[in-house]
Amino acid sequence: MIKIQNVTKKFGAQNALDNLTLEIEKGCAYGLLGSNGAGKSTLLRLLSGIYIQDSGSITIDDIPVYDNPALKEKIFFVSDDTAQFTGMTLLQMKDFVKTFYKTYNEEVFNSLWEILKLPLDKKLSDFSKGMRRQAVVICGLSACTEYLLLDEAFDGLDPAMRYAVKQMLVDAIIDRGVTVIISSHNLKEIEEFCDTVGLIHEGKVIFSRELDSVKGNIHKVQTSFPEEVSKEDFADIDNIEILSLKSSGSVTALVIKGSTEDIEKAMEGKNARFCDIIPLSLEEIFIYEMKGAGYNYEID
Amino acid sequence: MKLTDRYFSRYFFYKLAKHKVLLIVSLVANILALPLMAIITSSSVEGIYNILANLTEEGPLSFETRTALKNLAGSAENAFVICIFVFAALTIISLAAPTVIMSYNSKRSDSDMYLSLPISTKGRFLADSLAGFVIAVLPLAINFLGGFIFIQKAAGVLSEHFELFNSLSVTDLTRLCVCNAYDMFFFAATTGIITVTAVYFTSLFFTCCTGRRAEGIIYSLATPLVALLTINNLVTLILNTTRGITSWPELENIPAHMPVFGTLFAGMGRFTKARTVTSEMVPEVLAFPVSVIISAIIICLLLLFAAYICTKKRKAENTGKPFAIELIYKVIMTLLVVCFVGLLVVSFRNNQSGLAVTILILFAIYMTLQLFHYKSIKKIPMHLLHLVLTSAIAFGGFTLIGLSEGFGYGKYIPNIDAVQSVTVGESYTGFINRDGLIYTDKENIEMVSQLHKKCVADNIETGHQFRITYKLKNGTVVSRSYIDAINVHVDLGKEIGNTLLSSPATIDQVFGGGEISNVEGNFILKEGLTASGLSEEGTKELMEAIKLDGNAKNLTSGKVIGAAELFWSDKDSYNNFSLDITENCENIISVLNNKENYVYSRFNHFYASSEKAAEPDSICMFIENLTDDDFSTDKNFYIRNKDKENDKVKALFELMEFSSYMITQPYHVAVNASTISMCVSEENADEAERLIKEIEAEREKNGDKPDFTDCLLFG
Repeated sequence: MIKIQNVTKKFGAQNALDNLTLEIEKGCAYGLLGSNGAGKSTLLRLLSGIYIQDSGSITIDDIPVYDNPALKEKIFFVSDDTAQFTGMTLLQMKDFVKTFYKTYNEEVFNSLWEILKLPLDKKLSDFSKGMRRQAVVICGLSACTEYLLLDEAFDGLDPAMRYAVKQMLVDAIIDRGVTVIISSHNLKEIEEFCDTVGLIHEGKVIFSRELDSVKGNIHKVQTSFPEEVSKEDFADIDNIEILSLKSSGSVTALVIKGSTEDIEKAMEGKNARFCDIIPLSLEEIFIYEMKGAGYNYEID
Repeated sequence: MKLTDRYFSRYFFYKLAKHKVLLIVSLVANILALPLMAIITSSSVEGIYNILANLTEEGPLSFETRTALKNLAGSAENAFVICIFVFAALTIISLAAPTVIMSYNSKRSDSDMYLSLPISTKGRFLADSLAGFVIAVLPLAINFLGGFIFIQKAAGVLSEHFELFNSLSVTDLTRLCVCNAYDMFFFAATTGIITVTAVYFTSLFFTCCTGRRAEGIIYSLATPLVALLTINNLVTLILNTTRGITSWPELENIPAHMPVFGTLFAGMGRFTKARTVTSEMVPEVLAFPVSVIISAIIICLLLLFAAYICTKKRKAENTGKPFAIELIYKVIMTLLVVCFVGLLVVSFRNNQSGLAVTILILFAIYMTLQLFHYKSIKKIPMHLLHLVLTSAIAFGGFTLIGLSEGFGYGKYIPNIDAVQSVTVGESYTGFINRDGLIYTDKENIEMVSQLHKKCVADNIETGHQFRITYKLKNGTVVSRSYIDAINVHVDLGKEIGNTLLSSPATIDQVFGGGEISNVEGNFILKEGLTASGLSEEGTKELMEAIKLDGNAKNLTSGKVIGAAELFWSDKDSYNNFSLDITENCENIISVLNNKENYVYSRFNHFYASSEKAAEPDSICMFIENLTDDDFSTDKNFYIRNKDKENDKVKALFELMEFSSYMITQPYHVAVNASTISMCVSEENADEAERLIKEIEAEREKNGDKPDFTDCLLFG
C-alpha cells in the first residue's frame, strides 16, 4: 500500500503539495485528477523517488521511497515528457529497461510489441508523439514492476491506440496485480479505466474514493417546484449538499451531493412535482467538485 | 554506495556505452597526443642519429647536412606542438564530460529518467564520476604509458649533441624536443594529465551545483580565474610587490598550489612558455612541481567530495535553473566583488590608472550576472546593497592587509642570531642547483640577510628565481623567493653578492661534491681571447684552480679582468655557475691561457671535424645598445685572434668592464649567447661606438670582412 502522509512540497515560495495525505491500495487502478498545476506530476515524481518531500512521509509497504534502490526496483515511472528517449531506438529503450529492472520480461515486451508493431530500430525522435508514448508504455509494462506510474499516459494517442494501451494496462492489473497510478486530464479515460480516483487541487486532496462511490454520491436532478427555490432553501436538509441550482421556466436543474434516497426525500419535502435523478459523468463530477473547491469557472 | 547496490556496475557500463562516441573521441585524441608524438619524435631522433653516425665530412657541416638535421628536428617539434593542441582538445573533453554524463542535472526529462532508476544517489554519483573520469582522463594515462614505450628509443640518444643543436639556429623548443625528448615527453604528459584531471574535477563540481549546462561550463572556467586573481591580489598586497602574477613559495605558493583553481591557466602557461622562451630553457619548464601535483590531487579529491555533497543536497526540481545550490552562486558573486575590490586596492597603491574603468567593469559584470541569474529587476536594490556592503568589507580587509603587509609577513627577515643555516637556491645569479647553497657560518648568513634586506627594501618582485630559506634554531623554516635577484646582486656588486658567490663556502659546495662531467664553458679574458671546449684534463685543472683561487679569496680581490660561465653535469643535475675572474686569480688564468687545455668535441658548434686541437682565436660579440629598444642597431661584431694586436681593438677592450652577470649599461656584449657580458659604461659609450665604427671602416677599406666561419664562437 502506498501511504502519503502530511506531505508538503514547495517550489520556492509556492506550495506544490500542501500537507497532502493519501492512501492507495495495492492492485488498484488509481486515477489522479486535478487542474493544471494542482500537483499531480509532483506527486508522481515524489512517488517515484525523483523528488524529495520537504516534510511528511511517503512509503510503499511502510518503506520510504526516496533514495531507496530496492524499493525503486518495484516502481516504473512514465513521465509526461518523453524527450529523454528521443535519442534511442525502441530496442535501445528495451535494453535500458532490461538493464535496470530485474523484473523485466521479454515475453511481455514481445506480446505488447506484436499489438502495436512499432519500428524497433528507428530513433524515437522520428516517432510521432503518440508513438513515443506507446513505446514508453510498452517499456514500462515490460519492466513488470509492481507499481506503474503514468503521467498523462493517454496524451497524444488516437482512439484506437488509447483503447489498445488501456487494454494492456487492464491486462497487467488482472494478470500481475500491478498497481497503476495514472494522472490524466482525460476524465473519460479515467472513468473507463480506474476503479479509484483522487482529486487534487492546489496541493490538497479534495477527495479520494472508489469511482463507484464517487459517482454514486453526486447526482443531477431535474425537477419542478411550485414556487421559486434557491440553494439556501435546502440548507437545513441533512445529508445532501446542493452543488448547483439553475432554473429555466418551471424546470429546475440541480447537482446534489448525497444518496438517491436522501435526494428523493428532500425533493418530496420541497413538494417537487416530479424528480428525475440522472447519474453524472466523472467529468461533470470533476467540474462541480472543482467549483466547490473554488476553481473559478461556470458550466451550463 | 552499498555493496548491495546491484545496479552500480550496470549503470556505470551503461553510461560508458551511452557515451561511447565521447570515449572514442577521447581515445583517438589521446593516441594522437601521446603515442603518435612519441613515435614521430623517436623516428626523428633516429634519423638524426643516423646522419651523425654516418658523417664523414670535415670542417663545417654542409648546408645539406644542416638542413636535414633541422628538418628532422622540426618534425619532432611539430609533433610536440600537435600534442599541445590535442591536450587543449582533451581539456575541452574533460570540461564537457561531466555535464554530458550528468545530463540529469541540466535536463528535466533526463532527471525523470535517471533519478527514478533503482540506484542510490551515491551510487549514481560515483558511477557517473567514474565514467567521466574513464572517458576524459583514463585514456590519457593509458596512452601516457604507451607513449613511454615509444619514446624510450629517443631517450638520451642525443643529449650529448645539445651544443650542436644550439648552434643550428633552431629554437630552444626544437632543440629540447630532439635532445631531451624523453624529459619533454614526461613533463608535457604529466602536466597535461594534471591539467585535464583538474579541469575534469572542477567541471564535475560545477556540474553538480548548477542546473544548466551553460552555467556548469562558464563557472568552471570563470570561478577559478576569479579565485586565483583574488588570492593573487591578497598575496601581492602582503608581499608589497608591484608586479607579477605568477607563483610564490610558502605564502606565495598558495595560488600555485591551488591548481584546480588555476591549473588550466597554469597548464596553458607552461605550454605557452615552452613555445616562447628563447634562452636557457630546460624541459622542467613544462612541469608542475611535485608539491603542486600533490596539492592538485588533494584538491581534486576535495572537489569530488564537494560535488558529492552538492549531489546529495540538490533537489531534482532545480534542474534547469542556473544554480541548483544557490549558496555556491552567492559565494561566487561575493568572490567576484572581492576580486575586483582587490584589483582596485592594488591598482590604487601602485598609482595605476583605470580605477574608474575597473569600478565600471565590476558594476557591469556584477549586475549583468545578477539580472541574468534572477531574471528580475525587482531585486536590483538587494543586489546593489550586496555589492556595496561586500565592496566595503573587502576594501577594508584589503586595505588593512595591504597597509600592514600581511601583518608583517611580507617583510619579515629573521634575526641572524636565530638562524641556524640559510639556503640560497634556484638559479641564484647564474648558479643552478636544485638543492641550493647552504651557509652555516655567521659571516655568510649575514651576507644573505643583507641581500634579503635589499630585496625587501627595493620592493623586488616575488617569484621563483632566487630563493632564500632560513632554518631557525627553534626548528621553524622561513622561506622567500624573488625574481629580480640578479639586479639586486649587481646593485650590491662585489660587496655582498659576488663575495658570497665567490666565498670558499660557495666554491666548496659548487665544485666540491660528486663526479663532474660534460663541462662546457664560456670564458673570456680581457688580456687574451679564450674560448670554450675544455679537455677533460683541462676541466679538472680549472675546477682545482677555481677552488684554489676561491679559497685564497682571489675571486673577490683585485680588478676584474674576465668572466666565466660554466655548464656541467654531476650525478643528478645539470649545473650552471658564473663567476668573475680577477687579476689575482693566477690559477684560473693559468689554466685558461694554456691552449693545451682546449679541445673541440666532434660536433662542437659548426665543426664536424673530430679531435681538432683547439686554438681559441676569435670571438663574435653580439652588441646591443640597451639605451633604446631599437633592435635594428644590434649587431654581431667579430674579433679574431689577429685583431688583438690592433690598437683600436685594444682600446675597445680597455673600455670594457667584465661581469658574469647582466648589467644594464648602454652597451651589452654577449659572448657565445651566454650571460658573460662585457659592458661599456654610459660615459664610455660614445667612445666605444666610435672605436667599433672605426674598426669596421678599417676592415672594409682593407677588404677584410670577417664572418662567423672565422670564429670559433658564435653568439
